[in-house]
Amino acid sequence: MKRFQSLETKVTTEIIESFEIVWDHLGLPGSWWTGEERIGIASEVRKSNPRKLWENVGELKNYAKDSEEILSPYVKAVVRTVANETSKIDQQTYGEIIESIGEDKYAELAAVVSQVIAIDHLCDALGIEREELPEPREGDPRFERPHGLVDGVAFLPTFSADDLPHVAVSLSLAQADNARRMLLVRAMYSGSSFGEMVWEHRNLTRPQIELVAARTSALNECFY
Amino acid sequence: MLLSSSSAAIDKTINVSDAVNGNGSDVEIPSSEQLIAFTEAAHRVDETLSAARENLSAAIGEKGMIDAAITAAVFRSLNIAADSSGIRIDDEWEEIAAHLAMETSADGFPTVANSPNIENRIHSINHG
Repeated sequence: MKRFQSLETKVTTEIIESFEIVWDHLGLPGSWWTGEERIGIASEVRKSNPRKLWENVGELKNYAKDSEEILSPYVKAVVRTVANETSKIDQQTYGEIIESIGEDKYAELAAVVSQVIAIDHLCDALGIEREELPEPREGDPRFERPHGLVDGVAFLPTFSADDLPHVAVSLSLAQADNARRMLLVRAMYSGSSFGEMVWEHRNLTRPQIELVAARTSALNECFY
Repeated sequence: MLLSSSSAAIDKTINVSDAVNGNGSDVEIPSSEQLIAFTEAAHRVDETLSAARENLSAAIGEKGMIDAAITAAVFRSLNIAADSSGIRIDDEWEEIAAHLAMETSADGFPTVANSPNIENRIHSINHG
């Protein structure tokens, strides 16, 4: 069966194509994680979503950092925190995570989580079965870090925002995954008319869209 | 933060507090109650989701409901990117963000700490 076929009659071709691009790369070796580890991150996102009200990750320091499995209990806990309890990540928690796995791996992990969530949440909201995760591909990570990063925009180093909103460069340390994440944003939200206040390329009016956006952000306790 | 500006662009003054915290009955955006009920249910993915989906489709059509689902999904993703990275509010949004935060009680969210300038502005507003 063709990927994302169940969405084909419901969403635009641009959205389907952006999902396919994400899926094409999800199981490939990334900059700092292997393909197997990236699929492990995606699997952990799925296992923990939808989150039960009584499920909390708790203190990350309580999770083992060594394991025979693809991802350690500690990394799985970081994935669940990023996916479901993001607003709890303050400067101290961030510092503890970075001390354990480093900022490059953390940025890529968060970028993978954000891509999988965008696609799975849509399927869940529409009552459509989630797309099967791709098979991981063998190979080593590229161990590459982009040049020209700056401090002061986020906890993580980022590219300079220049005329872009900070959220556009938030995970730019994971350059390739951040670009795919923003491809989703363009396809699912702004199109080419982010600066226009009255939209005509969507089925909802812009105030209706922002209403859904504002409530979603409030549910996630996202101040930004 | 875009809610106020995009509504102003079409000459509507909306009740932002109701949009963020209420049931939508005072927002004065068409089908706001059904939109909020659907957004909440999609966040929980519980037994109310199917009815919320049907109610929203009845109010604005299936395409509108799908558009709401797309928006909820991409904003959850954006929230994750914003708060996992710890970005601060963009400089040009600080003033409106401080006022909106007070109006909606969003200044109680833990992630407001990522934008120290907002906390300072709120303090200034509160203390003249």
